[in-house]
Amino acid sequence: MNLRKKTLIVVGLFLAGLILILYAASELQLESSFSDLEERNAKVDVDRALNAMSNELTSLGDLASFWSARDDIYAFVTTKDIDYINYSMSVGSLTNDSLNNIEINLLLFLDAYGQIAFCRFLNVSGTPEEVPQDLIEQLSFYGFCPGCLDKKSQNEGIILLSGQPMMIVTQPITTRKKNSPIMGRVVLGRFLTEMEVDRLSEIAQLNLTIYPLDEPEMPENFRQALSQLSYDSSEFIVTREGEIIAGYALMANIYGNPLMILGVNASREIYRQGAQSRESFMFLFSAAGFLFMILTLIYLDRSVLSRLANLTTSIASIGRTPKISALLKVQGEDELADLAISINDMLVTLENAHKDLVNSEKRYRGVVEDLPDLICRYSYDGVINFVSASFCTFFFTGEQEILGQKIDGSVLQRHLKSAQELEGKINENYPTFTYESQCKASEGFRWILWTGRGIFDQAGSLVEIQSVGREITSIRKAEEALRESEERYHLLAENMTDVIHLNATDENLSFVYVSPSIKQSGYNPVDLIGRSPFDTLIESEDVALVKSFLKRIIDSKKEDIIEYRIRMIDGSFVWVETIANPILDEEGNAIYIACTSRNITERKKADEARKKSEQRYQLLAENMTDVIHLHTPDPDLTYVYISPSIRQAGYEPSELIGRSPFEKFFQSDDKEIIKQSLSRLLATKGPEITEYRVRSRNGSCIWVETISNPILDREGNVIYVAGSTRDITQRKKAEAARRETEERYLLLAENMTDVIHLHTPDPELRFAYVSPSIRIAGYEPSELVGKPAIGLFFGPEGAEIIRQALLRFLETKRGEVIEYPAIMKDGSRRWVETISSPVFDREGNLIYIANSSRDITSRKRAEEALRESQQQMADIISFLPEAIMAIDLNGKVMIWNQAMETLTGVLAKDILGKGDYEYSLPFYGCRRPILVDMVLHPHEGWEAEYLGFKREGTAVMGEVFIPTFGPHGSYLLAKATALCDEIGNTVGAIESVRDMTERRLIEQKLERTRTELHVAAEIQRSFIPKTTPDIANFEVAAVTIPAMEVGGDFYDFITLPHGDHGLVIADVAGKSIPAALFMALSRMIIRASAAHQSLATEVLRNANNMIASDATAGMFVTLLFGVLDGEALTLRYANAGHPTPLIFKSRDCSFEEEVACGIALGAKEGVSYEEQTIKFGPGDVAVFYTDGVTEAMNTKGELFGMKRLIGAVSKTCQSPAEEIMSRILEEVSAFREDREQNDDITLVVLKASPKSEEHALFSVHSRDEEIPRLSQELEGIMSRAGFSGKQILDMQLAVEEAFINIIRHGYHGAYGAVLIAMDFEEGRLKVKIEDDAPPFDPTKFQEPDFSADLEERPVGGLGIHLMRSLSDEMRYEYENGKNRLTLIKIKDRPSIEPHQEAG
Amino acid sequence: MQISTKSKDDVYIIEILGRMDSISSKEIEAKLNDVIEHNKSKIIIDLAAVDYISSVGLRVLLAALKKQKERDGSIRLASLQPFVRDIFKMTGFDRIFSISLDQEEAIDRFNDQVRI
Repeated sequence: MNLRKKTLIVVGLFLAGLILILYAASELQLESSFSDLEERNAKVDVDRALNAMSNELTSLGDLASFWSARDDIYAFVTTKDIDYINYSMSVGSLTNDSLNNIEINLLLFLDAYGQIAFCRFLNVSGTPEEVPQDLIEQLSFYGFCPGCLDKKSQNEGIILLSGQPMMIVTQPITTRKKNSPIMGRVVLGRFLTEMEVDRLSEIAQLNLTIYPLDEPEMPENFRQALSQLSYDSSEFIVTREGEIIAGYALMANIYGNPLMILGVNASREIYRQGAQSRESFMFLFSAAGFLFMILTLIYLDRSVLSRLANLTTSIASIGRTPKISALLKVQGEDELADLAISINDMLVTLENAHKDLVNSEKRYRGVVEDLPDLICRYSYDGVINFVSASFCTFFFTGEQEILGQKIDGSVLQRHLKSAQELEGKINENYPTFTYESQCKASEGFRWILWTGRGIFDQAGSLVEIQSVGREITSIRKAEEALRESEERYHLLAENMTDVIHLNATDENLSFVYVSPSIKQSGYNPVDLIGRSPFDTLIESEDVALVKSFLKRIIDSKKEDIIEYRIRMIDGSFVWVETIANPILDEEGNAIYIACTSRNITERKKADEARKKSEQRYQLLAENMTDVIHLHTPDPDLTYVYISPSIRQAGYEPSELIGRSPFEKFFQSDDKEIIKQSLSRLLATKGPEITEYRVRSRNGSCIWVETISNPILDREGNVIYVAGSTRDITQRKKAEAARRETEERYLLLAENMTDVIHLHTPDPELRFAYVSPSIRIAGYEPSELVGKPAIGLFFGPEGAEIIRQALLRFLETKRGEVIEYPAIMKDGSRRWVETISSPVFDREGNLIYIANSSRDITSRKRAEEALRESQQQMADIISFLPEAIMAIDLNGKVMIWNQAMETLTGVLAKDILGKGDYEYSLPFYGCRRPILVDMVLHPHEGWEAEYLGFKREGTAVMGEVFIPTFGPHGSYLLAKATALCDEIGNTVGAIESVRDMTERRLIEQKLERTRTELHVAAEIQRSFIPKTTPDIANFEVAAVTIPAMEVGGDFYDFITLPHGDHGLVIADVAGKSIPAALFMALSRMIIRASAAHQSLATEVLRNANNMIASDATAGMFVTLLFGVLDGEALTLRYANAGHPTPLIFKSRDCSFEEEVACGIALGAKEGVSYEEQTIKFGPGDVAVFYTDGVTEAMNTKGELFGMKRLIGAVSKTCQSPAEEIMSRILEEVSAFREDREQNDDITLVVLKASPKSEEHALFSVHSRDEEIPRLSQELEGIMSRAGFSGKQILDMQLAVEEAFINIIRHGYHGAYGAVLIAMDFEEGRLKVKIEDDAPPFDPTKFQEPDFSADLEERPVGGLGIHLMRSLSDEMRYEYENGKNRLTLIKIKDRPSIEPHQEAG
Repeated sequence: MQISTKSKDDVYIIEILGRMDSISSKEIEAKLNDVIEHNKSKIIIDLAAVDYISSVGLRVLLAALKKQKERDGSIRLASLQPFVRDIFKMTGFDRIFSISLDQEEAIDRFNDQVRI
């Protein structure tokens, strides 16, 4: 359900509830009030009815009074004389008719005793009748009437007469004047008939109904009302039935007893009205509520719901699109807009996060993809959710094809174990399970070793599997190959198949064909074919035998069998049994001999052994092949006897007897075992079984099992040791091979990527197996197997390391990790780490060395680099000029470098490792904490001793003066900091100590010098003129800035005898005080020379002579002295080696250099100087400077140079001298940046005052082409007058605009003359432009609106606007038929800033 | 007064050297009209070497701008020198023209527009 529906339902429910409550409330409230009202109304009605009744009774009473106060009646009652009333009775009012007319049904006159004196009774229909008995009874019962009790009173009421209600009235009878005593009563009665009631109803305008109480036919509602009306309480009650409301009241009879019930029926008008108004109110309220609901909904929809919906849609659409950054549209400024903004922010953040995620995912993926392993991740139900690239490659599939697929039912099912299969095999503690799979590929089977890792959720249930597969095909193949070769070998060994060969029948019986099974013997069929078996195979002793046998075959042409020996390629002999068949041609000649040869060595040997044993030792008949040998019981075990079966090993018994088997027979490795066995045997004198190896004659190794028995003499001494030895090589080999296989496999499985190589433990360490991964070293496994590793792979260094490892193997029987440089195929050396494990057989003999090698060159290099850098660091510390020491956490000295040794005189070897503040002794002469200790622990008291003690992080520093250290005490500046290891643990503290004594002493000295210098500088400063002189027609600005406190530059202005001004600028060679003194001297000499003459050349010549004669060797000053003539605007000067002044022409700021000349003052006596003259034009500038300006250096070591100096002046040559100077100084300081001023800077700027008056007048044609000329003239005048470039441009433009205006709008392009006068005086330039065109006053021209946009922008008016803006004043007059426009520019007015129109 | 032109990608650059007074502006006007006629929609006028401009020069630039606008092209001015800049401010032309600090910025602006 969406928000819109919800809102609708909520608002609807709310509205319905509201209406319901309102309805209920109105129902309750209105109902009751309406009922009250109704009831009151009904009561009023009942009252009215009762009133009507009583009115009726009153009117009846009035009738009664007609009779009660009549004299005739009175007389009649008193006398009972009927005559009194005769008249009345016959024709008067007492006749039945008259009674009937006035609807009187009963008229009684009672006498004073209550007896009826006169009686008239008319029934309901008006017929006279006898007074009903019950009236009489009633009268008698009550003793007439209530009125009897009080004779005077009149009474009225209702009685029941004959079951009919009757209104009855009684009044006492008096005389007419009512003054007589009461003599009786008159009783009037009128039946309350229905008609009567209707009449009453009509009168009261009510619907009245009256029933006697005992009326049997009383309606039900009356009965109910009656039952509720009690006699003594409420006189009426209201009941309602439907549209009718009824009020009831009891009516009492004349005696005050209830007699009748009166009912007033009325329609429920009020209630109906109420109900109606309530309904219409409810309707209106519902309608208003509904309308309000609709409006609320519409508003909600507009302002919230639809926007929310939009927002939702936008977010949803963003969610669908891959581009997260598609932002939401922000509307309005309410919370939804805020929401949108924050969602946008979130989206941006999300996108950034997403990007990061993508990037990190990419990185991660990159890492994963680069792995050669096959990685596949799938969920519990087998859906694949990740595969690595190598996985895809391996299974020839695309990532997209496989993702989301199930492993069940796919090719992968054969490879990957599903979660269900793995469940139970893995759990949270052991989440991995390793298994293998294989598949058939084009190049054969491929094996994969899988490691399935379960991923568990928090509840511990398996949710995902990540399987990492590594192809182990090569390992498998190696294993297979191994197994196959073993099997082959086994097969060969077990079933040496027969060799079939064809031999020719010639002299040599050479081989024509040999079956490949000959390979058992080590020969190759190809090698044998064409050769004679006698030269190759057949044992020389048997050659004759075989030859004769074959001859016999050829001759007899019959099959035969022969046994003989053949020589294997390794030199051993094998007995063969050959069945030879001659092959005959058509003529019956044998052309070939077909032979089938079978190895019968074993049988033969057994036969032979048996034969020999039988011959010599019947005792040993059963152990034919065993070798029986007797030894002396000495440690050499010299052979005393040895059975000929030793020949199996290739030895002749004779050559062994008398010799020790230790010499060559036993494998050296096994000698110890044998010795132990011997000593046990000698000790126990019991038999011993030993397994060991013997070397056969051909060098091969044979495993043997020897049962040794001591042979005792009578005294029980061992005199011989008898041994029975059996060849168990086969068994041993099988065992070893099996174990080897196992071990190889184990190693292979464990270190797949490493190179696995097995070596035999011979001195050359021959390769027994090499894994194909050796290819990274450039070798093929096949080319290494069987080859000695030493010298090939291990190299000389490696060989040594491995040999030593080998020795350790034998000792410890444990593998170890060794590192050595291995030789690659290309001859390069790479560091290899090899896990070398000895492979021992069951007896603990080393049979192989298994190695798993890994290239660690890069690591080795890194290690070496590290070691080197560590060494370097150590060296650096050791040779640092700074004294350095370090202590460990226990306060023991770890480092004490050479500088420290020098500083303290304590050698490192004497102090390293010492603790307990030993290191403070050389400094303080006592044991106390020093700065280095304060790094590790604060030492409040001691810290105060250090001057400027400071703690920054883990570093502390401070300076201390130790009076006892060094000959005159020492200032030591020390800094100490914590020493940390790589992981940041503090392992100690290091302190560097610098002897600051010398520096501090120098500083103190310097401080004194500085004070002296300060005084000198003050004196020198007093030499520099405080103000520049006032020279007519010249502006002068000068400054000198010393580089140090005392400088060598100075300038001076001297007033000369004839009123001229002398200008001096000079640079004394050298710095500081000597320079200052020399400067003072030079200044004084120049002043003295200039005092009595004003020829610059002479002044310099004199000064030079004086200085040269006086100057300390090598002191000189470059100096320029000039005499300024304010009238002629000239400077006549002589230059003694000073930089030549720079001259700038005011017109265009062009630069002119003066000629350099003269030798510095004091350099050489008797030199004369040349006079130079600078002729200034108005506004021309001369800049005098010292080389401190041009040689100012920046941080890059560049010089400020002439170019920059000239540039600085060129830009400002129109400005006053003071400004030009400031500009130069600013540029120099900006150029120098942070670099300190390296030389004094002195500048004197002379500027000839600009002209005060200029005039020009010329006439031009009204042609555009005249504009350049106007501009040029204007520029000339203005620049001479010293206007700035900007002011010139302003004026040029103003004049051009004015001129153009005249051409275009004055003459309208026609030919006309324009007279232009330019006058500069009193600092104002006036340009008057006169023309003969029709009058036009540009000053009156209304400026157009320049703030308008492109389209509405006016085309005209620009020119006049510019004229007005760019000139300082614009005047117009029309005189003598001429327009005269005057544009004025004021020189000293600041340049016009363009005012921007508001907008 | 010299006018040189070059183009970089689709931006056409006009470099003016000298004073833009009543005389020289005619030449510039001719050149601009020519360029606009050839439907160069993106024009940069580099005023780096213009240190003087008169109202005639301003009108020439304005006329060119109007023509370009009609053709949905645009003109961007670059490297206004101090005096020229003052005149532009004084006449409100700086609010009519798009003005860049230098040619590179003007090109960048054009490229920005393309990107937007």
